[in-house]
Amino acid sequence: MRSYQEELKYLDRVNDHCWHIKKGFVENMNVDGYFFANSHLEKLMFDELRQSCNNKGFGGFLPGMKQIANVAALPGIVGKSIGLPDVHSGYGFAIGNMAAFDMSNSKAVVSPGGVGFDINCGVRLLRTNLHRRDVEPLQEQLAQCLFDHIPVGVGSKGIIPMTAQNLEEALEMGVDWSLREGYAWAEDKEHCEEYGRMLQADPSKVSSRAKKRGLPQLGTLGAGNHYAEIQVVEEIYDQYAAKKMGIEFKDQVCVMIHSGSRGMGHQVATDALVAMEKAMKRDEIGVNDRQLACAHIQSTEGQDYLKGMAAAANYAWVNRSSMTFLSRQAFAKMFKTTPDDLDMHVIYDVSHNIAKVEEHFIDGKQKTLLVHRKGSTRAFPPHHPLIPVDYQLTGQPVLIGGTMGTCSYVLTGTEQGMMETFGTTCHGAGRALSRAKSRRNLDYTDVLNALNQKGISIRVASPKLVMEEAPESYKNVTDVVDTCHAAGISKKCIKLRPIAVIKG
Amino acid sequence: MFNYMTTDYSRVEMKYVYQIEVSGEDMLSLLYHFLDEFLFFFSAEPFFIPRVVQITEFDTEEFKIKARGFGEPFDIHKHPQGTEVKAITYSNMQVHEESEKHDIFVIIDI
Repeated sequence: MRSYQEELKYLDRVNDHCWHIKKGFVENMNVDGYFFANSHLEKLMFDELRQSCNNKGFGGFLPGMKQIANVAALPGIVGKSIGLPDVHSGYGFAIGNMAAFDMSNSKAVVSPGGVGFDINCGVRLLRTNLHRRDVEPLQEQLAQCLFDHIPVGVGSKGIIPMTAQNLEEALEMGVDWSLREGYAWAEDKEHCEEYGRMLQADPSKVSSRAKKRGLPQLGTLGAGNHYAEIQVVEEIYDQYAAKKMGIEFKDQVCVMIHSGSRGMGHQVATDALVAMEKAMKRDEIGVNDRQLACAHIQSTEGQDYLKGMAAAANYAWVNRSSMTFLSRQAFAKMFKTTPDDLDMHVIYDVSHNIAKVEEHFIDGKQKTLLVHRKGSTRAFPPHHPLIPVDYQLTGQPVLIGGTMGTCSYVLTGTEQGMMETFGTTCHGAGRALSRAKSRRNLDYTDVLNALNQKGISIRVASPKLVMEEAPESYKNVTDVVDTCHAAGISKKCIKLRPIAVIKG
Repeated sequence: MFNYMTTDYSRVEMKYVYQIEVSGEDMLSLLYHFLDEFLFFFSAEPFFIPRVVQITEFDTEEFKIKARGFGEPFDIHKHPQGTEVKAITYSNMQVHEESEKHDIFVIIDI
């Protein structure tokens, strides 16, 4: 075991917002690691490393820097392993980590650890034509109404009627299923990554265990850091792009939904992890961390995972679409009008736990890559063929959910991000304290009072654990977003502030 | 793990017994499957939350465990909701058997 001082020799500052992790920091690194951080954020990263050195490896988390480096040691990785500004210790991959693998290299791998357990966890933003003034008198009732409509928290069950046959179709069709069943609008599709449907999805590659977990949970928010928030526009940095998104004025009311594929995705990931452990022995693939289990992309296990992952991704879109439907209903009921008249369109829907086949340029040559984004968001630049026509001139909207009670942001993708980070940027605030530390240091009544004082209505299924999601437990989202902006990997467009939070 | 999914574990009554049987390739995978099996039956039918888990057979050579949980179905109207455990992970999983009291580290995804 190296000491903290010895570890530091492998770390170099590139500039004010980027650090370099040199080969040798962990064994077998094929490429270098990089992570983005400003002076506040880098402190947290170094703290993680110091803590792990002090523990001498006995228990605890692996520091994010080590995880970025372990990813750099995976077979077939190209370019670099990148930590975005919200990066922190995760499982296998760090959370806020991205890595691309060369599809033309037969040794290149796909790793479920590079997607995460919550496959296609993501954020969706709806706009309304309401002003804060319209909502204020009804704020508490509206929060309650939303809470009554959307099932939240551990053990809650979906209210949208589902049969096993429906589930098969939903896994195959994604948002198209929601559209057919009348839960989504035709325009919603256009504003989702992949148009809300991954075509390689194959429900037969999803185990019956996963389907059993998925069936009762469709249309539920979940727990942990998932939420639905009513937000108002606090600041517009880019008038033109905001207008394209239908954001016209300050204090315009929006709804943000952060959720994923629930137990369905968790089980698909677990199943793949177990299957790949066996395949690794057969194909003699070595990795630094058992949670980084992987398989050659073209192997049966690799292909099965990608098809199952796509089905779970479709489930996540159906899930977010179902909650969009419920939110629209809740608003329509409270304002005694229709969602149409409230102009409740989807601005965009991003996926921040996913692996995708994409075209990128490496040393001037076009390559087909399998891009893993774990806790990081695709941020394609203007004119990219895969972004909707409405955003061709602005770049892809990137939705950055803050933490409970703090701001959220909308960014747009940039050309520089396309070149430096494979068109990837941050996904949120990123944890700063472990959950255990949050529980020790904070009191849940203080956290609830603080929200109350800020004028934020809160409805939460597990108030006693609310300190785990308190702003103090997370990195400052503004630091994270400013670092992305300063590094040029995405551009600030809109800042939103919550007025009501619904949580598990 | 289950003490985390409800904030008042004492409300879980031991109404019936649920048996599981798992095997692994080594000690870590056995530990993984043992936890994952109970998590699965919490997350799907019968939504079982155990109050007490008793290991009835533990084969450390063939890596097999038989265990039974004493508990009841999780009910959000009866059990105050905690937060959800999504999955068991292998991340930095450790089993230390040197001392008399063994130490086990498992990181779960929440």
